Amino acid sequence: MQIDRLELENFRQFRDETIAFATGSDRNVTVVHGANGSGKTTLLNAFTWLFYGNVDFDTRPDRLASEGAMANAQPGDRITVSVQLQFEHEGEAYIAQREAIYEKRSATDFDGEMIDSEVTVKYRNNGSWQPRNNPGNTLDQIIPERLSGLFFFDGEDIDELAGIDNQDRIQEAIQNIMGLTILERANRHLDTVAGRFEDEVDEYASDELSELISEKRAIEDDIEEFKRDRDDTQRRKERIESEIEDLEQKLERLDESAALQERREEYREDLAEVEDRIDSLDEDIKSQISQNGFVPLAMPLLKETATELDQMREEGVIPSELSNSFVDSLLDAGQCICGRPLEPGTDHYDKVASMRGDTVADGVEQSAIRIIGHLNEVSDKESEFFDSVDEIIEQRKNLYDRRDELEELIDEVSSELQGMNQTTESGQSIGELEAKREQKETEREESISEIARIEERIERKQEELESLEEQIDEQQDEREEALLAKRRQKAAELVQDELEGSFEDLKDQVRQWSNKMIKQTFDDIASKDLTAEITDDFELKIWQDVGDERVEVDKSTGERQIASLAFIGSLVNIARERYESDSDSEYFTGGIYPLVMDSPFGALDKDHRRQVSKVIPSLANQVVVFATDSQWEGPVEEEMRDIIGEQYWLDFDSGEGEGEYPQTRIATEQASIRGD
Amino acid sequence: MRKPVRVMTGVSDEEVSITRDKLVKVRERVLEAEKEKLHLDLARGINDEIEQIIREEIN
Repeated sequence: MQIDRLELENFRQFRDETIAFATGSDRNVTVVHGANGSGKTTLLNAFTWLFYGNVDFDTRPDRLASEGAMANAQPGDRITVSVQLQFEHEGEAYIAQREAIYEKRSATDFDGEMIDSEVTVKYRNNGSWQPRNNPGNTLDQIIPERLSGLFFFDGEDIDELAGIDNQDRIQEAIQNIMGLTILERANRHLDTVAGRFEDEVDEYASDELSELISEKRAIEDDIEEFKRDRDDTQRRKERIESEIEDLEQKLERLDESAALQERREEYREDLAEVEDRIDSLDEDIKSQISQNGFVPLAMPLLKETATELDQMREEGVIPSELSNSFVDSLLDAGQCICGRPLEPGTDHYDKVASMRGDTVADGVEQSAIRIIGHLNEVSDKESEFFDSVDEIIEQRKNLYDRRDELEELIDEVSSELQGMNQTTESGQSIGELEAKREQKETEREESISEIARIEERIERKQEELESLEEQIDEQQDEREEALLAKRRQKAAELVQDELEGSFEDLKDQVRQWSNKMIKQTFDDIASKDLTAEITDDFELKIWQDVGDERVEVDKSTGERQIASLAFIGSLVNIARERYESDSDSEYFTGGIYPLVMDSPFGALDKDHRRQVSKVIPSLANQVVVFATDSQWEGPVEEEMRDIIGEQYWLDFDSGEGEGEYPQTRIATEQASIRGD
Repeated sequence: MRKPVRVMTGVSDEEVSITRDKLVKVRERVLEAEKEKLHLDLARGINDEIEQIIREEIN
């Protein structure tokens, strides 16, 4: 940043004044001479007011508008207070202006009431001035407010910097200017964000999935076991059937039992046919119900509707008179609902008119009769449905009877066979063979029942399994979310670790740079036996060599000021060096800053003033110094004379006469300065 | 006999991996976001911004 020109309008005692700053590389110092109370601190405040809207005045802090301008105004008049700075920053020309409008409220009101305030920043772009949309932000980015104390420097506050309790301020200043703040902040914020992702992991990751998977496995195991049981039972059943077949073959081969066995086969065939027919009838019943089953359900409502309609028709409610009156209203209005005019004598009129009376009424009544007819048809359908189902049920009942009959016949055959004592080749009687066959038949039935029971269990378990699988799918989705949150948490932590490492490395490096620079600057300024140091804890210390020992100096005011000046100058210099170097740092680019110093030499003795005057101009590209004559004359003037680019004198008039008010004019030549 | 299945419950560090490129990108974007808010004493909304950067880069 290079400051070019400052314009003040009605800003405290400055009515309409301008300062052009030295910008040459050899003559980079601007000196503003002024007695105490002439407006040096006001000039420093002009910068902070313009950049941040802040001022810090010892006297009448609320009075920003020129007292003279307010005195000359009438109640209700408005006074504009303005500070404008022209400067260059990173190759672009800027004009920044802060303006406040004050209204005089009464004849004795010299402060005024601020009724409007605005800050604007314009920059030069392709030959024309363009406004910056966020001017306050722009100015704060050029010189951050947190660093303003370093660049707009009040000599009265200088003692604080080297004070014992200002370690934090020193550390903050160094960290800010060296780019450490960005790393420290990123580190802290990444820690917070990593915590957020960790919470997200906890939210999604649960033990439920594991429990569900265990449950699923247990059910799968159960199903497998049931299937094994079923297969075993199935095999047992097949074995039994094979044994039954063998027994029946034996019975077929024996002359005595062959006929009975044959008869039994016939009965069985008949029985199978009957059962097929029963199944077929069951299907017919189902089909009837699905096709016409709604009829009996809807019947009560349909009957009620038909009765009501019929009653309305008989009472003459259908058709209503509405139809005729509606047609009449159209004819009276002379317009059809289609939008065409209805003029008597036209075809269209006659056609609409013909819709009145019996024709319409008949039409509606016919419709009602048709609806009633349809409803009655549905009623007929209900009877048909019941007749049809009753008939099928009757047929099925007959088949049930036939089935019972055949089963009885089969049982009779068995009883008959069991009563036969003829012995077979194997030594068993026919009766024994049949009894055994009957027993096997019972076992077969039991196997079939057992298989059915197992199948039912399997089915139930399959249903449970499906439900569990759905739940597991949902949990798997949550698990994906948990994994993603974990990756994000890890990314935040890894980047945080890296930045923490970078922070520690750079912090150490910065401390060494600062230490070296401050030591060197302080050595140039201070007595030979004194040294300044930035400690590991970023504490600014001044040491004195006493014999072979080094002792910490009980800092005098002068030494503190020297140390503070060395410190500020060093930081500005480091920032400039970093800016001009080719370092490709993503978090620190340095910067070029001017030093605007109010009474920096105040408490220094002559020797120290000389040394400080030698060093300070070399630390910054641009230096603006406000000084009283007593601070300036002598060693400071001797050292700085040749590097002064611009020089001004504050010509202060206290305005004590009638109708006079305090005013400072900025002169380029020394006049008779009132007071010191 | 079914194959033993690894039952995953809590999420461990070993299960997640992130490429170097992704980390570099996150770092660049986080520092850029911090730089934009550096002039503010209180970098309002920066945590939300960083969270969003990570959501976008790690997905």
